[in-house]
Amino acid sequence: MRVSTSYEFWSYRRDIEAAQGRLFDAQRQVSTGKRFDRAEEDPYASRVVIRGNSLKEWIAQTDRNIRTAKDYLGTTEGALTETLDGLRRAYTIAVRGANASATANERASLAQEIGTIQARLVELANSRAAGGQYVFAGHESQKRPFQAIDGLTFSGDTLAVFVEADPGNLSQVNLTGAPSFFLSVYDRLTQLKNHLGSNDPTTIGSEDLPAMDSAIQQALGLQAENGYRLQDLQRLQDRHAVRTDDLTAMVSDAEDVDVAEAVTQLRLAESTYQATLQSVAAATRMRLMDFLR
Amino acid sequence: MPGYLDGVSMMAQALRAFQRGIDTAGHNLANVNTPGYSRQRVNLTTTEAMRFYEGDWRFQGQGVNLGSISRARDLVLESRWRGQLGEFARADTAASGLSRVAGVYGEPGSDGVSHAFESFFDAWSGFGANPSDQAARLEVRRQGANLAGRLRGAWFALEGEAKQATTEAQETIARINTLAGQIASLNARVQASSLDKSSPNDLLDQRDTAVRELAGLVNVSVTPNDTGAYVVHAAGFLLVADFGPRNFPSTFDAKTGTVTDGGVTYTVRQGALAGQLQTIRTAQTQQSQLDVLATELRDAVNSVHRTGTNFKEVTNIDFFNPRSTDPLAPSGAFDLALSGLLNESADYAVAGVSGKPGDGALAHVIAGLREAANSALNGRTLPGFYGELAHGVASDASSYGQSADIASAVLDQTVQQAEAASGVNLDDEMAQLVQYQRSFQAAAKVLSVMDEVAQDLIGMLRR
Repeated sequence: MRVSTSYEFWSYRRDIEAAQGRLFDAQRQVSTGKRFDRAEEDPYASRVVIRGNSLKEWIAQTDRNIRTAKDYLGTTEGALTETLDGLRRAYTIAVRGANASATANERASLAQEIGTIQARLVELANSRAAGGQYVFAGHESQKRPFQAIDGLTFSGDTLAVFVEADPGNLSQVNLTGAPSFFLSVYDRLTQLKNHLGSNDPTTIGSEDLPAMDSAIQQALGLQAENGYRLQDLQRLQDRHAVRTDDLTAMVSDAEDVDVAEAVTQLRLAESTYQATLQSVAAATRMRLMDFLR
Repeated sequence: MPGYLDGVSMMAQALRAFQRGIDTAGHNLANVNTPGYSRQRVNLTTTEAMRFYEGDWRFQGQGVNLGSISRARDLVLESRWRGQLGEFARADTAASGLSRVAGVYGEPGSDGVSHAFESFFDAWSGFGANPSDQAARLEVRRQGANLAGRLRGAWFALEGEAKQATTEAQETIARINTLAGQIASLNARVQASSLDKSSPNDLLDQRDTAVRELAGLVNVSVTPNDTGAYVVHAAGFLLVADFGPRNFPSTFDAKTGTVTDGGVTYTVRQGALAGQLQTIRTAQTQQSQLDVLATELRDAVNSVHRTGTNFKEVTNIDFFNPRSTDPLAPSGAFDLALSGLLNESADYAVAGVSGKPGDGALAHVIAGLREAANSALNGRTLPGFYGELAHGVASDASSYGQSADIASAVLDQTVQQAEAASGVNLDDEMAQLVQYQRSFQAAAKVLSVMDEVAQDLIGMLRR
């Protein structure tokens, strides 16, 4: 085909620009590690990247929520464990108080020890998480919920506290049955203390011992409930780690370049550019007028 | 019977014809870089033979005659070129315009609106987990302001793109009118030059170049009439008639891709103007969709937020500024912002119904709006609706880019074919130059021989 000189040079220019463009793209991909940086360059992959990153961010937020929840549940766990220790000690005191061989002085001394356990129980019932929340206060989380003045009183509420521990799903982090447990245990300890003070081994044996046993069972129940929640959160966190890895791989597949391939493409683009320049230089040297005398 | 002077006259005519050939090759070489120039050729014909009697009737050739100087032009390719250029210009202009529109959203990236949506709902999720935490409360306000700002910013950026494309369309129409004037003026000069049946090649080239540029702006149809003038329709509108140019309609409707003149509507199908109208249409559609999204976001968050109580026991608080009650000036993305109270202090961010420090129920409800289907958004979620909006314009930009690439490849083939017919080739012209130079030298040699013959004859007579 006949080729006009202006088309020939236009064509050279276009070839050089195309080779330069490919070199620029290859260089950009190698230096950024990304296949594209604008949505319209690959709309489908871009959508995958946006959705994948959104879900990753959401999961990261729920992981931060889980840290809050674990602080809440961990504080609860610590308080219940110590409460249980106190109740076991109270049970032992009750056994000793119910023993007919114990003297009135010994029972008075045991009553004092029960008073100490009660004081600690009040402190435990007012436990605060690292964020400052009273973990047994329900929604009234910023006010000290239990006061021991003439018996134990509760000024919090028994409403559930939730966190979003998994995208779209809420998990309860407080034990709504805990306030009534602490009130009841405090009352039972008061009764035990009174019976020890009044030197009444019979009632201690018939009422306080079963009451302490029942309180221990209740505490164990609450501890188990709390433990299950902690385990659930741990399972969610483990699942999140796996899901985040999957999403990272998905996003990477969509937007990241294969470095080996990108470097090869860069070398190829360099060679192509060089060859284009050389061929244009060679072709433009040959003109009929150079051979005419 | 032919005489001695007939031969001299014949060679003088040959010298003139070859000189024209050299001049024409020179003209071609001089215009090797002139856009739209068609190479020209001298068409030589033999001069009518002289009949004479010399024992019998015979014919003696009388040399060469300059028939015409014509331009090499394939009118079928020219018409195809115009059509393909119009299609390429439409797709290329739309691809470039829609790419700017898609760029408004900054996707994919940490500056994108989708990231602002996620951060907003994440902040509410965090606030739900820590309803009494001042940092969580501040984060909700910060992310609310950021999301409102991003949506508002995107709306104004779209407004800017629509205005830019509108200005470009107006400039295109002005250029169409300028070209119409040029074509009409060239029509008149072509008609005047054609009266004596000569071919004004350079004027024809200039006219074709102007029509081609016009085809890059708007779909054109060209009909040559019997006086040599071009009658040009642009988008179906009679732009250049026998009597001169007409002003292209300046009223356009981007929604329908039409221009209107005196109640008659013309559809712009090709050229940069079609791409510019497409860009305006897309930017304006995106704006109205962002308005719908912003209204739903505002209503959905506010309707929940108002039912709550903050820790200072203030209730009925809007999170975003409430929408306008004036039906003539409805709210949209352009005026989305935090409410006055939230702007004043993060203390007005509400996490629960009761206002108790551990009540994060409402914050969870607002965080849950991320996944809530919205009937006003055709059952899409708020981020989902936005995602489709941004993905749609990115897909359209990509699709126009591909169309432009295809149109460019097709156009390239036609340009190559047309250039093969019309373009100047330096080697060709050099060969022509040498050919006519040698022919000129040969004719001069013949004259020299004739002169020598005459000298010999005169010498013989002297003896």
